[in-house]
Amino acid sequence: MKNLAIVLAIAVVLGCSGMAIAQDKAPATNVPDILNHSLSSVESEFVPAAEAMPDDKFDFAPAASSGEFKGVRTFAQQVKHVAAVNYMLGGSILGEKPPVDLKGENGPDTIKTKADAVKFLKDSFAYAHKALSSINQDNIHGLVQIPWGPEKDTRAALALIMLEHPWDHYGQMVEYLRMNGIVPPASRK
Amino acid sequence: MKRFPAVVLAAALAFTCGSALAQDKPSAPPTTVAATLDHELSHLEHGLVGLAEAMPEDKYSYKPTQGKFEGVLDFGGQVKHLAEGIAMYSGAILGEKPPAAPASLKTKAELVQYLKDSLAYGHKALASLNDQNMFTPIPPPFGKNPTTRLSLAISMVGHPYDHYGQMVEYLRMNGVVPPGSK
Repeated sequence: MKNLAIVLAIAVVLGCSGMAIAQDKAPATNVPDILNHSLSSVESEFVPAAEAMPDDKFDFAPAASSGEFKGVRTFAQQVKHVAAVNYMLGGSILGEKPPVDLKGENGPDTIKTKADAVKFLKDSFAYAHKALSSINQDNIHGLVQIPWGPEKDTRAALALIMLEHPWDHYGQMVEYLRMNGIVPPASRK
Repeated sequence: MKRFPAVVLAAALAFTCGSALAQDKPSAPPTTVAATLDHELSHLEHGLVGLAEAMPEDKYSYKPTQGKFEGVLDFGGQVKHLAEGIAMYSGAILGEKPPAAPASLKTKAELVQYLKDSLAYGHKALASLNDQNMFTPIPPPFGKNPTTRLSLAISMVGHPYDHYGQMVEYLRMNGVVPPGSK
């Protein structure tokens, strides 16, 4: 009996691990899984890019003399802006106030260090995943309050903005990294 | 890039275009996945074509040099890469081989036209999506793991913003404020 239990346990472990591998290769085939997979895709490049900028360069912005850069966001502001918008869109999708006092779309001024900004960013992606997990085929076209005005839009539209927006800033941060002699982690492969 | 949902833009347009249009109610948000994605592709199209047209022709071969920029695409290369990528995604969604790239892709006019044509093909691909086929596993345009039309469509309207962000910086490096930031 004891041996049978061990054999069964091994079979279960093997079976589960086999299933896990098979699931890795099979595509997501429902709304929340597909949305979360897409968010993980940008998250997996964005967070390492944020982490790749050294502490002493975290507030870098191109010099005004090197082109038309008046008023552009610093590297830190790009990170905080994406985090804040993740929270804002997530709150709209979930129909709740985000759990952080954002102080607008650039995030709180109290977040100053790289460590704090990266934590803010990671937490925002976790909240964004929670929001996307709440979307399904029944509620995807339901109207929700948008974060930046009195109008309403669908969860589908806000989810797509959530999946697009970080790429725009990722592209800018890639250039900021390269200007500082750093190849973005996702481009080192 | 500044973002406004369709309802806000429609309301603003109606407000600023005088009494004739002000009587029209703002268009309602799309209520199908295909229409929502198509709206996002139109937004992307507006941004990308605006950037491509804003860069002077003699700067199409520009790429940064001050820093770690070995092997990066020049501005024209970014436009070409985007057009190729959108065509590949679209072909996979439609289950067909995408149209071949034009034989000559050297001038700004040729590259901008290729981008516009690929985006038009992207709209055609998104119009083919429905609740039945968007979750069906299909062969990927690259790699070997199967994917779904919905995953590809989301990537098609999202991932190009990576290059949008890079092109914004190339423009600013050349003293040009991106149209979307004016």
